[in-house]
Amino acid sequence: MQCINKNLIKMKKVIKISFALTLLIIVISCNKKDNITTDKHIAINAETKTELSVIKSVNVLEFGLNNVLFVGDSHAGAIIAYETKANENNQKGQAYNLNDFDKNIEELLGIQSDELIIRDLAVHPESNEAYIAISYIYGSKYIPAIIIANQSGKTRLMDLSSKHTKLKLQKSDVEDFMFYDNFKGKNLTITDLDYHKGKLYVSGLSNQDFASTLRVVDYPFTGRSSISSVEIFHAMHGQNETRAPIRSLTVVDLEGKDYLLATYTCTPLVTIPIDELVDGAQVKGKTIGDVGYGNTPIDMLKYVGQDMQKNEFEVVLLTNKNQAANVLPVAGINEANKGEGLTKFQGFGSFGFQGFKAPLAGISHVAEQDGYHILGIRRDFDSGDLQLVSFMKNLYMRISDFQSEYEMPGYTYSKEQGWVKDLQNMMKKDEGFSSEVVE
Amino acid sequence: MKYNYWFILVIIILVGCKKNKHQVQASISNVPDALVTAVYPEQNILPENILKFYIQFSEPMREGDFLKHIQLLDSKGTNLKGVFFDNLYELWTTDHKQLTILVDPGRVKTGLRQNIKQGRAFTVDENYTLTIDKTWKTISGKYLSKTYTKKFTIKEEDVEPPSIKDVVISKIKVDSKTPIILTFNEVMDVFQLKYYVRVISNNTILKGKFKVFDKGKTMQFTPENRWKEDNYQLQIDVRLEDIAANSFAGKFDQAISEAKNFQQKGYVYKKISIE
Repeated sequence: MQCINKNLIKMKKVIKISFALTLLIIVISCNKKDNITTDKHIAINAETKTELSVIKSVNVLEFGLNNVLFVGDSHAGAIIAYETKANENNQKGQAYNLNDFDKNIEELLGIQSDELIIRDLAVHPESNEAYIAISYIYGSKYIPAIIIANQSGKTRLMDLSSKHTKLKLQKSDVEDFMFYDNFKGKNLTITDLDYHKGKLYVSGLSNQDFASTLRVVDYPFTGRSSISSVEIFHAMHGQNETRAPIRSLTVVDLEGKDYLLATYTCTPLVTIPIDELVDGAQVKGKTIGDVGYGNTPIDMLKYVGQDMQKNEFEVVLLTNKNQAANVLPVAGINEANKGEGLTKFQGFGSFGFQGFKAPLAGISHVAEQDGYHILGIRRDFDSGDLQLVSFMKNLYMRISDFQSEYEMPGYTYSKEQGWVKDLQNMMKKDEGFSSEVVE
Repeated sequence: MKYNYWFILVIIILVGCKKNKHQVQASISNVPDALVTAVYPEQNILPENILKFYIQFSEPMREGDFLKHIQLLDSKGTNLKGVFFDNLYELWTTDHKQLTILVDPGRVKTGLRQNIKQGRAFTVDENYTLTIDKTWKTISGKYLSKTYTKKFTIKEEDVEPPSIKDVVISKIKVDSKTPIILTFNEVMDVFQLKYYVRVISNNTILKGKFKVFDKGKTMQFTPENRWKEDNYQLQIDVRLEDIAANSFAGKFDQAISEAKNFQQKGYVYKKISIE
């Protein structure tokens, strides 16, 4: 009996001590979590506070020559050019397969995924690291930041006070009129920028004037920018559309002459001769095609693609918000540009030049990663998870996005399907599923 | 007695935890309730070809999927889709307290595909209700305290560009700071008025204060210094628009053949008389 009592007393002590320890651990971990979050925020905020004089927002990213990263800052109405260095990246050339990228960002910034806006994506030309422009919530503000990530999911923040030059895009009306009152209502949104042969082409959209502004800027910055007012003729428009804002643009060489290839909402493809873009000019663009109505174009990438016979050809990839992507071979753009373009109403379908469709959809932003990959950032349809993932050029899909009969147990590829098996095996390896490779 | 120190320990721990929780709650509750403070244009009769609405909030709001929070209902209560421009780049002011929403320009402009297929977004003599629902979050994480509604009726399209000839300016009283009143013959974009209208003297912009009245039809300018015997002029940037986006540079839906009838860049002027 005594023995049982002794054991009971011992057990009670153990329970008490365990209870006390548990409480202490709960409180410590509770406080620790708060402190970590707070400290991290303060650290990042303290860091960006010093940046705020340099940069007020990060909206558009574009790499130029010599690893210069151009950042479009809509809130400041400025372009900032950072001289970046290539970080060592042992996984260069491999695909990005970060299917739960929210967690990486959460660890880096201590924020939830709904406190984050993805603005743009670029890939460092030398290191192949991903540069992701974001705004995230701190207190009652959005804080701008650029996250740098590699294929392993390792992330860090870009130092926005690192070596840079800056160009304020023409003195804004806001500054002209500030003495009237304290209203800072007018805001230029930079919708895209493209670097080509020492010049930056910058498209913008104002929150007050429904107008197209296309600026051509010398780089290195000279402090001068020219503004061209570009007139385009919509395919279905009986009149001239002079004020539609450009949503996405790139420069293409058509028979030795440089043209801007621009897309507008609802979604005409327009060529604009670059040599006509002089200050104050009104340039007539040519609508060479219309890839679909009710659609918003997102990004345009230019790179060298391949067909099944491994013939190389230059293409422009146009990604869309409301429909699949369009692959636009430059040779096709060239042919379409020789004609008079679309000048009258032709119906409600897609018409004129539109290249061919690629099954890239639901992707927030894309960037050229390397010779084999396009990098995309997207939210998974089912889980809502943020994903930073690569797509193989020319295939424009991820095999892990699909479940097909090929994946069924016991499926046997016929002899004629050898090339399908090879392609699928290649994608499986690329996406980190080497164990699924079928011999 | 032997339980006392356990009791004290538990109390201390709980108080510690509660204090943290309380602090968090206090910091959230210190944030005032968020409201939609105004929607512009303020009037309740709007032209069929209205292009823009401005929504003002009392607190900085979150970006992303703004169309989820905005509904347009017709008089039967049908939620109309495809009226507002699904803009990849939401048009916020830098303080995130004002959002510009555009009626799909493809439906406003005649001859564009959306316009041909779907027609104008609004129907003449129809009544509409614009609602901004309270599930919209502020940046600091609060919801709007109530759903906002604006009721309006649509009347005929406005395809008349404003003209400097139609701007009426009151006379200046020399040696006074008496404000002058500018009256337009229609309602103008209230925010553009703040940027595109000035008073000049010998090519110099006069410092002073502008105020907008009458929902955007009237402005008052009070000079910082007394008026002198001088040549004063009203200077208006030709980009200044009425609420259907017709500007001093011509109407919004303008053929290229018509554009030459209007000054496309710069300013228009009108002399300001002395009393």
